[in-house]
Formats: sequence, C-alpha cells, structure tokens
Amino acid sequence: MGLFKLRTPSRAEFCSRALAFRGFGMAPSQDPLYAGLGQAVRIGTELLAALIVGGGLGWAIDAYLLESAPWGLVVGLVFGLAAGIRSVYRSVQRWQVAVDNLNNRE
Amino acid sequence: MEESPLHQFELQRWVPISIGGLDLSINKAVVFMWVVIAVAAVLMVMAGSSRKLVPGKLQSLAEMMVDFIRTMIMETMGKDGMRFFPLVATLFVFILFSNYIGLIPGAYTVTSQIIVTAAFSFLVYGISLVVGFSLHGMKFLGILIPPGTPGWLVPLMVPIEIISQIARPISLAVRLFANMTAGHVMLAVLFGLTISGGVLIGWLPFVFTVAIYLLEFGIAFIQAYIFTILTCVYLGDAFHLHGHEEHAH
Repeated sequence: MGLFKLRTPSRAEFCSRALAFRGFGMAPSQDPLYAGLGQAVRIGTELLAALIVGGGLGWAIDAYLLESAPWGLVVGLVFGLAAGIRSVYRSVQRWQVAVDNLNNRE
Repeated sequence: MEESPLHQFELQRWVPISIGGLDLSINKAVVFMWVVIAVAAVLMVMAGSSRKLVPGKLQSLAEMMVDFIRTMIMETMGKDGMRFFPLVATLFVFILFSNYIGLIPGAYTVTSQIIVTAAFSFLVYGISLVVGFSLHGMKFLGILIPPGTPGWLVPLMVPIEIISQIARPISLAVRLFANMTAGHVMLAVLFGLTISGGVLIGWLPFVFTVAIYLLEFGIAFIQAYIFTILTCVYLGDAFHLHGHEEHAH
C-alpha cells in the first residue's frame, strides 16, 4: 500500500510544498481536523472532572467538617456542574479566538 | 483459554527492590518506560545529527515535530512561552512515543497507568502554580475571579473557579489514562471474540479489531497533542493572568 510509504521529496517538490504550506497560512495545530477532534475529546472529561471534584468536595465537607449530609453533596454537585460548564464554555471561547485569527489571516 | 481483557495491564515484579519500605521493583512498565526514553532519544539524536539544508526522512519528521510544538506554544503562550519549550517538547515526545510503542503487540503502554499520567499532570499544574505565584505574587489569586465579574457574583464565582482549577490536573490525567486503557481493553475484547468465534463468525470481530487498531493510531497522536496543548494553556494562564486577548495571535 502506498499510503504509508514515506519518501524523500525532490528539492523542487520540497520547496513548492513548503511554500504551499506557508502560503496556506495554517499551522498544524490549527488544522481543523485536529482542532475539532481535540475539542470533542476535551469537553467530555472537563465536564465530568469538575462534577466529580465538586461532588467530592461537598461530600468531604459533609463527612468531615459540618456533618450536614446531604446538603454539602447537593451544593457541591451544583457548583461542580457550574464549574464544568464554565470550563467548557471557556475552552470553546478560546477555540473561537483561534478560528477568528485564522479567518483574519486569510 | 479465557483471559481477562484487563490482564494486559497487570504488572509483575521482575526484579524486586525494596528500599526503606518503598517498593521500587522493576516491572514491565518501568522497562517499557526505559525503552520509550531510549527509542525517543536515539531517534532524535539521529535526526539531529546530519542537519542538512534539504532534510532526509528522519530529519524532516523531527523538524515537523519541533515546528508543531513551537506553533502550539506560540499560539497559546506567545513568544515568552518559548522558555517552556524543553518541558513541553519532552512531555509531547514521551507521551507520543509511549502511546505508539504501546500499540506494538506485546508491548506495554506506559500511559495506561494512571500514576504515570497523574505524575505528569500534577507536575504541570504544580509548575503553573509556581510560575503564577512567582510572577504575580498574591495577585495570582485573581485567577479565581474572571475579568468582568460583577461584585455580587464574586462569592459564587470563587468556589466555582476553585473547583474548576482542582479539576484541571485530574481531567488531564484521567483523559490520557482512560483513552489509552479503553482502547487497549477494546482491542483485547474484540481479539478475544475473534479467537473464540472461530472461522465462521470470528472474521467479524477481526475486521473491527483491525479498524479499531487503525483508529488507535489517530487516538495516540491526538491524546499526546491534547495533553501538551493543555499544558501550554495552563502554563499560559499562569503566565499572563487574564491576558489572553492580547497574546492570542
């Protein structure tokens, strides 16, 4: 299969490819495929981790500090959910900045 | 032969070492960590030794990788962030190589141990805290109050931001660990089905095994990429403290 074959480009080919790459103005990490997949994989764990941390802190306050079960857990989960949504919102916002920069450059 | 799909992650003590009650035994994960370091180091030194103007295969791959990491840092942290290049590049290369070496049948995926990924993520988060406090002093606590928050929202925002800060290293560690573990468990289950299914039905899980294996090649890269770019984002947050807008381009 030629798909995985790696070959050394000729000098002219290399230069034209390098120019095309620069001219296109797209850095590898802004490649829409990687950026999109990256975002998709990130968001789920961010939401979940914040929820778990919030719930865990609430539970710990219940169990060791105030003996206020179940209110610490309830409030903790609500705060955790808010924190999760907040961090997802923030990372999507950052993505928007990258997309805007890309559009401005073209 | 029925074998648990989790069997592949079990570690036996190959060379038992115990120093002062600490279990420092050498096991498969330790050995493969050395293998990863050796392979990465040898390849990088070989790639960097010729330094031709028109690069060969290995050199152009290495140059692409360096350029990739450099762009990642420039986009998230700006030019000042280049002082973190050694850290970020080391993390990226190590995670990338351990993900890919783990895909060789019979090899061990170092990043499928949560203690490895957690060590990295807490190191990164610790460094970001040290950088933040040493650059901004106590003003760094202002990271808990996002810019433009109305005064009456502050008591609400501070616990929310504390939670999302604590969640950062945890999600960083769990994401890499869970993706690598889940991929290998899936491969083990599908291949187990292939073996026990025989010729008549076994081809179906085998097709899926091959498909998932190819998918894992993509995942291995994307997970290394995400870990490193989030490293950059967290370090950049500590570095600039609400200053993304001016550094974003």
